[in-house]
Amino acid sequence: MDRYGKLDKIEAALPSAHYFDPALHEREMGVFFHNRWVCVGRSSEVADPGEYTAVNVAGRGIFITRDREQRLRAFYNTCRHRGSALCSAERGAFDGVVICPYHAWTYGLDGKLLATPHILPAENFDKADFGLHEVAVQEWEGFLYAHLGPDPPDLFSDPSFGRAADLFKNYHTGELEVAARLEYDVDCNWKLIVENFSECYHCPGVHPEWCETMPRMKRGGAISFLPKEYDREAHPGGSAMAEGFETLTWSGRSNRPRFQHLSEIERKIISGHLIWPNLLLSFHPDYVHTQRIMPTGPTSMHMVYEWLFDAETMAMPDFDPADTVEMWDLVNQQDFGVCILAQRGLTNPVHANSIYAPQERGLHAFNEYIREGLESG
Amino acid sequence: MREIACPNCGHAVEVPPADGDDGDTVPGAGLKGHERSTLSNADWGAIEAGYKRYPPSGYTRLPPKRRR
Repeated sequence: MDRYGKLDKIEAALPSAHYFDPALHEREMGVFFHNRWVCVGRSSEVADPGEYTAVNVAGRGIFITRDREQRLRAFYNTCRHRGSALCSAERGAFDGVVICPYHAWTYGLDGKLLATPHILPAENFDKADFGLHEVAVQEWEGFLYAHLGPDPPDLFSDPSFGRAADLFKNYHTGELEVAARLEYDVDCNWKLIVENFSECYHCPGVHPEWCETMPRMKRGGAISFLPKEYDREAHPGGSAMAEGFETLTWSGRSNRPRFQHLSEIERKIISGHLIWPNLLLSFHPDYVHTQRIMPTGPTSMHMVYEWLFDAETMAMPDFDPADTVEMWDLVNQQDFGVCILAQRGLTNPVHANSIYAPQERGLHAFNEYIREGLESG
Repeated sequence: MREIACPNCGHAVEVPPADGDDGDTVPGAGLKGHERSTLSNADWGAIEAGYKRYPPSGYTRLPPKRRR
C-alpha cells in the first residue's frame, strides 16, 4: 500500500465484536483514553484563573482549570472526602477556590485542600494528604489535552502533533476562538465515526449536496481530491473547492476575511486531518471546524462540534457563522445516519468483520493503530 | 462513454471515460441528474432515534473571549 494509492487487496477489518463487546470496549478505553493524550476542549474555555471545563473522559470525570499563576491544571472531578463531584456544570468559573457542594471541603485552584469547615479534630488527619487527584494537562494548538495515566510522556514527544502543527501552521489554529458549538449523543461505537472520517468513498452517495462544493468528490472511489498539479504530499487530506468558491458554504461565498497567511493552494482547498484517537479537524480558508469524540459506552458516544474563527473576524459587527454551521450540521447528521445504521447492522452474527475497499487506506491505518495499541497496551 | 447502473437509483446512466487521474477508478454517484443521497429513502425517524442534538435546534453562539 502506498500512502496516496490504493490498498493492494481486499482485507478483513477489525472483528465486529470490537464495535459492541463490553470487555473489548473496556480494554480499548484503558489503552486509548485512559492512558494516552486525549483532546478534552479548547484552552480559550479556561482563559482566566478559575474558569473551568468539566469533561467525562470515557467514564472518568475530570475538570480543567487555570490556577492563580495562569497555569493549566486538571483534576479528577471528585472530592477527597465522600467522592462528590465538585463541578456539576460542563463549564463555569470558580470564585478563587473549589468548594465541594456536599460538606464544603475547599480546595485551591492548585488542588491543595485548604479548609474542611466544622470538621472535628482527628489526630491522623493532615490536609496535605488530601489534595485533589491531579491529571496531566497540556495545550497543543489551542486544544486542551489530558492524560489520565501514570507517568505521562510529554505530549510533544509524539511526533504526530508536531507534524500536524507544521502541516497547518498557516492557519494559526492556536490563536483561533470558538464561535459556535453543537453537541450530539450518538448511538454508535466511537470508531465508526473516526473510520467514516477516514475515507470519502461514501461521500458521493451520502453527501451529494456537499460534493457540489467540491466536484472532485463526486468521483466515487477517488483517493485524492486535488488536481495533479497540486502538491499532494504537502496537502494530505486536501480537497479542491468548486471553481469560484472562496470557502466552504453553500454559496461558496463569505463576507469573512480569509486567514492572512495562507498559501495560494490553501486558499482553494479544504483539508481534513485526524489526530488519533479523538480529534478530527477540517481546515477552510476562513474557519476551522473541529469534531471531538468521547466514547460513553461500547455503542454510544458524545460528539462536540466547534467552529473556530479569528478573534478579529468574530468582532466584526456583521459576523455570522450560521452559513458554515448549517452546512456542516447537515453533513454531520448524514454521517451519523450511516454510522448508526452500520452499528445496527454489524451486530448481526453473520457479519464477522467488515472489509476495506481498496481506497479505504485511511480506515485501514486507523485500524492498525487500534490493533497495535491493543497488542502493546 | 459506457453505461452503468446508477449507484443511487439503479437507472442506466452513461459514464464519461476516466481522465487518467488516480482518483477516477470507480464510477460513483453524483452522475448528472442522479445527485441524491443514498439516505434519501431511509427512514429518518428511525435514524433520529439514534441521536440527540444539543441544543435541539440552532446552535450555541459564543462571543470572543477576553485576552489574557
